[in-house]
Amino acid sequence: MQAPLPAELQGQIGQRLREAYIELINEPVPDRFVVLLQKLKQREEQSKEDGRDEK
Amino acid sequence: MTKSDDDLQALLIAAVPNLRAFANSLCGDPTRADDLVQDTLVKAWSNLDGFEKGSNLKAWLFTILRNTYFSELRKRRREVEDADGAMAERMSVLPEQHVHMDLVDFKKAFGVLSDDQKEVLLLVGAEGFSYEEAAEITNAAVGTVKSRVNRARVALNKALGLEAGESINPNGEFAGITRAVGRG
Repeated sequence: MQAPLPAELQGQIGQRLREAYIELINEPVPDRFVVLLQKLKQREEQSKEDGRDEK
Repeated sequence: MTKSDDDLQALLIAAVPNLRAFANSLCGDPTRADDLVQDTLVKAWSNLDGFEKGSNLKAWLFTILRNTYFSELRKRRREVEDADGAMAERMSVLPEQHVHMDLVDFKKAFGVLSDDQKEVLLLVGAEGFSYEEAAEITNAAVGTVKSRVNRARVALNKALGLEAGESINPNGEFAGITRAVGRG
């Protein structure tokens, strides 16, 4: 196994990685995901109601 | 937790920014990343029975996302091999929109890592999953995850040409971490 990097370098790399990643996390979320989950839930409720009607 | 549960919807929505960041970092293509997140949410929704109550929902979602990504990748590679008789080299870099110049080099360097290295470094180094959690998510042994993280760091260090004693922040403070916590 390759020798690990000195802690200081690990820290520098970790810092840059987190900075880059946080920029991505902070990007605004498109509406499509909220809409998608609402649709999935509506479909679920609809199919439950349909199930009751058949009884 | 049931599908009509508003909490579940809130939890899934809350995970979206992290899922998008992870998908973007893995595939380097924002459009494809959003498709991956959408597939992940649909799969999570329809397989909710497979989720163990009380276990880590975020880890479960990340598992679905990376499995979806890698199975698509295998499929694409087979198609490319069939079409060209050769494996196409795939260049994946972190998207560069809205970035500070000092991060551009890092994002380029990140692109030299293999997919295996990227995913464990993102899970452990960026998302803060434990080695054990990352091992479970990637279906690998803990020792394998540790060695991949180590090799990823060594490769990044080489690509960045960092040296011990050279501080990114002249104040010597871990600004990135502080900001990370502050922005929550």
